[in-house]
Amino acid sequence: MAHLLREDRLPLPFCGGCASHSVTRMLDRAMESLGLTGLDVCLVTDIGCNGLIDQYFDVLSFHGLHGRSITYATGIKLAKPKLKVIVVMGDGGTGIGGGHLLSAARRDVDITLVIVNNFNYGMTGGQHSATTPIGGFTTTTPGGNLEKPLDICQAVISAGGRFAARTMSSDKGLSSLIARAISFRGFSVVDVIGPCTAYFMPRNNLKRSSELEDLCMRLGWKTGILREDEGEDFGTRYASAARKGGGRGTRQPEAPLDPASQPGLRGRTEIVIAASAGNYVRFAGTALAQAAIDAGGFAVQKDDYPITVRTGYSVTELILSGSPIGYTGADSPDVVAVASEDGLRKTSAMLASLKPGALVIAEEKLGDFAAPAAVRRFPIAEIARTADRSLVAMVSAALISLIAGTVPPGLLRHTISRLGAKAVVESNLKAFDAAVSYIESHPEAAAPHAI
Amino acid sequence: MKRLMDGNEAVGRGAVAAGCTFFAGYPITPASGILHFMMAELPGLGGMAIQGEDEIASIGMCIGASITGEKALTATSGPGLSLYSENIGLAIMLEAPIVIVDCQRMGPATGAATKTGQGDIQFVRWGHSGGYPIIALAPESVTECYSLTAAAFDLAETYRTPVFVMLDKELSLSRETVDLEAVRLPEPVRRIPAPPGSSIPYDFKEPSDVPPFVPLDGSVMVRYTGSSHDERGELCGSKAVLGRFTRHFTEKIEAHAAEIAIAGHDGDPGARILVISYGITAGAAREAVARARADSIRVSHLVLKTLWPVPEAIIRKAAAGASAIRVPENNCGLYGREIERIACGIDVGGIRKSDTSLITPGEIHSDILKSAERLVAR
Repeated sequence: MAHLLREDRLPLPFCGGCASHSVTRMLDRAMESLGLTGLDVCLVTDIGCNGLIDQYFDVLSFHGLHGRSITYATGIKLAKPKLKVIVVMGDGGTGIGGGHLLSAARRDVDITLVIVNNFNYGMTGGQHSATTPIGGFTTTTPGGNLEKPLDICQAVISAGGRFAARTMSSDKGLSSLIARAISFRGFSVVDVIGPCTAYFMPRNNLKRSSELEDLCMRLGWKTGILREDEGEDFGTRYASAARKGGGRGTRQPEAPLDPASQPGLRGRTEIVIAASAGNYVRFAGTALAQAAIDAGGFAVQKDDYPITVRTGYSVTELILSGSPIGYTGADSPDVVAVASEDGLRKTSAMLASLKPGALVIAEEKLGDFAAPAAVRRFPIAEIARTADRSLVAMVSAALISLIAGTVPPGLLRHTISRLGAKAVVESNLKAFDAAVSYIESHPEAAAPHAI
Repeated sequence: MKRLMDGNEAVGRGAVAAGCTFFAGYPITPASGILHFMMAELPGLGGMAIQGEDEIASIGMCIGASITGEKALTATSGPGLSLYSENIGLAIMLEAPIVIVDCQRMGPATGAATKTGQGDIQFVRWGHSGGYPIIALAPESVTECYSLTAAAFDLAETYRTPVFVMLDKELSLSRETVDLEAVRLPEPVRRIPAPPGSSIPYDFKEPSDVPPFVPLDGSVMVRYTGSSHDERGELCGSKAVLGRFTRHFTEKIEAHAAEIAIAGHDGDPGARILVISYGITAGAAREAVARARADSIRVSHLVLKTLWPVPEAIIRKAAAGASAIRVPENNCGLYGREIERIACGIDVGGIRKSDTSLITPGEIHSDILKSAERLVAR
């Protein structure tokens, strides 16, 4: 008696003796034994002879692309956790989707994978698959297969899968094994070994499906439940992480000063600060940009750094403007601050092509460089040292504000104070203040530069 | 409140504002910021965000979630988009709404990682087998990354189709000044549900109709397949049915092109030169047009926000009276060919640049000047 099979659709569309016959029947019986209705189950299939079975069941069904069933099943299960999501696919789909198999085992989403493993691609004419034994004859291995077969259960187990079982399609206990896998809370795999009577069996002179048991023995593929471990599935872990505030949210800055009380920005100013990784270059740039916004203006910030962390250059490019910024390229900087050797190497071409009237604020210890612009040297590292020697970018930003007058220093200081984590803000404020007192005590260095 | 924000965060905020509840993506520069934002934000909002093992898995998970009724987002760049290809076809076939953000970088292959480009404009249109229409939007600013991502969700829900949002490295990673609270988004659209109890996922009368949606969520029996199917989602090989479905895939988008079209037109009725820009080139084109007008050159400017389906009526109208059309593009002229096709007979050209640098206002300005000189000489 069928449970969720569509009797009016029968017979099943498989060759005589094909493993998919018994898998279909046993899956139906498994769902019956668990008392599942068609609305409790989503059956996900893909390409392969066994991928036809969803049409023969009165259950929710999704038929997708070759080898990708696990991905759709994952999306369905994560979105609708109450559904029992069952994937049926072949050794072909398992091979092409091997990465999904390993990831599913590691991720442990509560889905069940039933694999109809018949050692070759039946639907496309009997080509070799990921499980074809060495020496096995298939359409594409006329002289015998040269590649080693994949032990699916061992692969799943080594990837951390908590439920892996293997049996033969002729096993009378297959339905209860599938039922056990469906009931298991977590990713579960049942590797069902069975005959492809169209190709693999006749090509390899195999007469009875019992000969496949011998084949498994020779391959060292154990049968039975090979692993069934306690544990928490992904959905449970995700829900508890979310309850604990996982997904930390993103920070919103605090309120700025009233822009109406701030002097407005004029024109468009392009600024570059070039230093080294770890110099809080991006932070310094953001402070200048946000100060311009706090002054009622507009800003664009772009950062450039290598893929390495804490080594190499770090450059931030800024455009500050009194009116909205259409073009976001900063091709013709008005001010360039160079605070380290890394920064100089990165910007030397840019410095060499600066427009007349541009201002360069450079660390005094840096070697000579070509720049057809006004170059002002400062002991940037020395000034930063009173706060933290790494904060040369903030000293540069402060000098830009003090000398080029792009944003008022008082406003910049207020903006820094609300920009980030307390420790970062405090040390950067110290660096800012150090620059201010340097300029106060060196009036000759403080001459403003009109840009 | 005005603040600095990059395009990636604005996309994420636009998605959340539109009711996105599911995200899956795989790290790739310059799109990773969207993955980071969604991983940080969605769990706290009751949604699900996950990093897939690859791009194929990521879009697969999104399609699975979408078919249960969730609003799903994924984001990638050229190499990842290449891996999406087969599943884009599946989303079209299933009529599964999904929003795909493509943060373009200069290709092909790994290309100039990570520099800007607009080279995926035709790729999103034709990057699946069959050649059926999709929808693609191109924001020109970080603020529009927010509003057009929200619009993309509304279009995906309305037309049950994949919708692309085309950013590029420049928009993804540049932080611009935005005030999102000041942007008024329309009420989010939900896909039209089928009548209670209906098991027919593709119930449409005219080919251009969008079938009401039946969720695969356990409320009603329904089947979905990426194989050719009939109205009930059953495998089907009938020529009549399949012909009707392929017309449907085409017409449900193309017959609604006018409703899908979004563009900004800065027209001068006496202008003989029309500049057409989109995405990151629009800002430079605006400045160039302003400079040309200051030189007393009469020029109109059309900024396309909808790239696919091509907003043909809007382009035709804007091109009426024009003798030259300039289309600056950070690629080898990929969208210009669409303009040529529509504005047949009118000279179409413009700055085409794919050396990783942005097209500058100065370059477009001198291109307009040269075009004006040619018109006088003619």
